[in-house]
Amino acid sequence: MDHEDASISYVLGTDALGRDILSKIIAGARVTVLVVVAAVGTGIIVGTTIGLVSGFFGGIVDDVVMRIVDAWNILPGLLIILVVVLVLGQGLWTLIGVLAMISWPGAVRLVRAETLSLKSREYVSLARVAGASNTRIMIRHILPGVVNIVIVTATLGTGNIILTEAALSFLGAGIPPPEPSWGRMISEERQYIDAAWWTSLFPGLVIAMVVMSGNFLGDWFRDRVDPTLRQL
Amino acid sequence: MGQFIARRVLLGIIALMLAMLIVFSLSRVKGDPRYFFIGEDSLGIDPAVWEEWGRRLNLDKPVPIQFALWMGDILTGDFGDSVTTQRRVLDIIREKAPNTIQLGIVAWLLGTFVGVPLGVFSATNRGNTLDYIFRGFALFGQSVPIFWLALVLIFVFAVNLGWLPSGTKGEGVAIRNFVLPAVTLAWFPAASYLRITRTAMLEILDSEFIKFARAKGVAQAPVRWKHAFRNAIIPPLTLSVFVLFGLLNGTIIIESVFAWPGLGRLAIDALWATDYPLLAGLTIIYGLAFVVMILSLDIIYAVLDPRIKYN
Repeated sequence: MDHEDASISYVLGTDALGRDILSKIIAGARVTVLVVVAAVGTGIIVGTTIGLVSGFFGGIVDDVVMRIVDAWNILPGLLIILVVVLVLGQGLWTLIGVLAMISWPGAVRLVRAETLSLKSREYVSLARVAGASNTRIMIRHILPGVVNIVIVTATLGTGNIILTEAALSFLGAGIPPPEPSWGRMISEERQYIDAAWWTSLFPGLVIAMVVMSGNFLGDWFRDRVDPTLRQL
Repeated sequence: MGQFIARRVLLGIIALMLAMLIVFSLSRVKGDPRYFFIGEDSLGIDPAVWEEWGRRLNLDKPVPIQFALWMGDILTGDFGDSVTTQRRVLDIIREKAPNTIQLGIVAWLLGTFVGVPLGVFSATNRGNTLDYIFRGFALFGQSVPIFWLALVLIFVFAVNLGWLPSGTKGEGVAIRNFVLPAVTLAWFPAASYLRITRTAMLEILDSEFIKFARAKGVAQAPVRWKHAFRNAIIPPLTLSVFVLFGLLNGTIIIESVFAWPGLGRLAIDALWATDYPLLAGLTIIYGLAFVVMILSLDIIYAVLDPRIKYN
């Protein structure tokens, strides 16, 4: 088999082994969505919990947590990911783990700031007078107030995670074959770029469109949640 | 201010320790760490060599002591030897670093001097066609994967038009070789700078003192550049930290595409050759570079904007 140009049966043409590009893109979406949702979800849950606890209790815990978050943000993330992949090997769980590793600090700072402002509110003091425990106050009274901002950060961060996932697949550090993935489609086909340019063009366009949609959605969420943050 | 800088230095030290801790722990989580240094396929390894490596890695001591000793080695500049080439890691890095630094600086300048002026232009001509085009470019530029952009540029300018070489740095500093990698790397920063400068400018242009300056009869150009732009410079400057990080990450992704003989390609080669000492050394050196960049930006920031309070 060889590359085949776009036609009615293969709308976006075929790759070097005669496989339909469109089908591969659709199959690749499954993996990307799974990985990104799992990674962002894990990152958000971890980040929110840490931010909530840190902001609520304050003191030395808060100091230590915030120093770690600050330091974490200036680590060479991509290289650390590569070291993890070198040691643990490629795979679905490694990929989800490393992506969660770079997504958790985003939520911590925002959730903590929000928690700090909420915990001094009247209704929190009243809940305490009514005999609510710390855990109950955090979960029932403060968490609902920070959920909005968490959703906004998660959505805005998705684009970055998708791009990182694509880059890792491209570098061969993502999910190993035969599972299709957009990044690896581009890297596998790049040697044929002068003969069959469409094979690497379309997966890239799909990545760009998904990332752009994520950014739009995030902007829209943010404007809905807090119109004062609207960018002109 | 002295206290502020001291705190930032402390943060840098924490970050470096954290990076070293992660890299070190990873070498100890999976089986015998000696495999990372000898190479796993060497089954018929001489027991004497095996023992010798045990001593060199201090495996007879408790793990925290091992970490401390390893960190001591790193601090004295001893990153060990690369598994594949048997050369000292620091020597290899020193040899390749200039190529990456040159590329990074060119790309950063390109991104800044394209993105910031376009952002100002976009803000001062808000709502006209060019503003929409630039904003479209910014949105698109922040969404495309750069390795894909690299391939598209190679396809158009190297394969089809044949104007520029598709890769390799060549001898000395040949501008032709820099164009494609630098444009690829500068794409995302230019888009980010454009967006943030535009937003900052619009906010400032909407403020009272600008209206007052206009009411006084100050001409359009001084209002833009002297009154507005000087106040709008802080957000793009803050962004620079992320831009520089992005650039260094970008070099790791695209240097292989352009066959650029720098640190990024070295990292990918090290990953493929499971060359743990080399990749670990690169990680720590990049971490150091990040910390130094953050510190210098903090200092510039503090000098430029005396309103910032240090607490």
